[in-house]
Amino acid sequence: MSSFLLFSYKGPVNFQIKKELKHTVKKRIEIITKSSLEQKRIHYVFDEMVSNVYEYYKENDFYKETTSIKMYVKSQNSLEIVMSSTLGKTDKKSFKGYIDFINSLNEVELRKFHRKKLNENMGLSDNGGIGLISIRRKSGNPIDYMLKKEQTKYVIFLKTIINLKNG
Amino acid sequence: MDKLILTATDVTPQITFDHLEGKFDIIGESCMENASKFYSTLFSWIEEYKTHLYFINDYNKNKKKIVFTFHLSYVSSSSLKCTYDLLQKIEELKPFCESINIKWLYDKDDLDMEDNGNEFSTMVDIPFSILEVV
Repeated sequence: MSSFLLFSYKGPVNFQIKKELKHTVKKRIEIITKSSLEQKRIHYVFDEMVSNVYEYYKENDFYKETTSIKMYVKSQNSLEIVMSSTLGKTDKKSFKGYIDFINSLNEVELRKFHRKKLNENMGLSDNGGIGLISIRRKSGNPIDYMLKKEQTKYVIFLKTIINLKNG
Repeated sequence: MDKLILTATDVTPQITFDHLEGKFDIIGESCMENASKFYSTLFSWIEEYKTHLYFINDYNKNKKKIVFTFHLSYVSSSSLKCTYDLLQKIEELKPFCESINIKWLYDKDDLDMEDNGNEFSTMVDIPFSILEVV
């Protein structure tokens, strides 16, 4: 199997759009793997990536910001989800620090950190970064990222690789 | 007090909290827009049930044996946090019943949901039965 673009979207993200994207992605995933568990894992990572953006936009009134999502099948053994979204200028440092931190953890440490976050008291809309831990755990790979400065904000590119076993 | 019955949707689980029938089920997918809001209804019900148990224990010497059944096929990360909070809330019922157990069901080969069950069983002080549904 050669590399190909499985899914692409560019536009705003809200809960309704997220639901529609999930539906489309579900159909596309069925093309590349017959394993329902693998389909579920890809679906989960995709959902968490979009949810993270959606929740962040909601908190920061970024409703009109554009998000780009691409899903590539890189080979028979891996799938890559690349997403670009807007990041407020003041959040750059904490976001970078948080991703670097969870990328530095091994599986056991991630599990421990996940438990710690589940135990934290959080506000009604605050998911406290659990989504990023879940993406890291479910994909089994570090979350790659790049930040690009624009006039008053940053664009963050996130890349997650999911290894496929039952393609 | 009233029963709490919430019909499942494509993003919310079926909730059956029927204290009269002794049926406490959470079944389906949990990936709603506002998990905290959805689960706060459940927390409030448990809180009310705790008070209910406190008073009926005055009249009835036989305390209840309670089993909560979780059969979740998909849980988003924000729902996972709420599920843990719900389990903690259920744990608060312990002094008011004879026994309380969690039946954690997961679909065949769903290692992630099995793992969630195992993880939660070590995080709350309630006996868990973790069972694969074939």
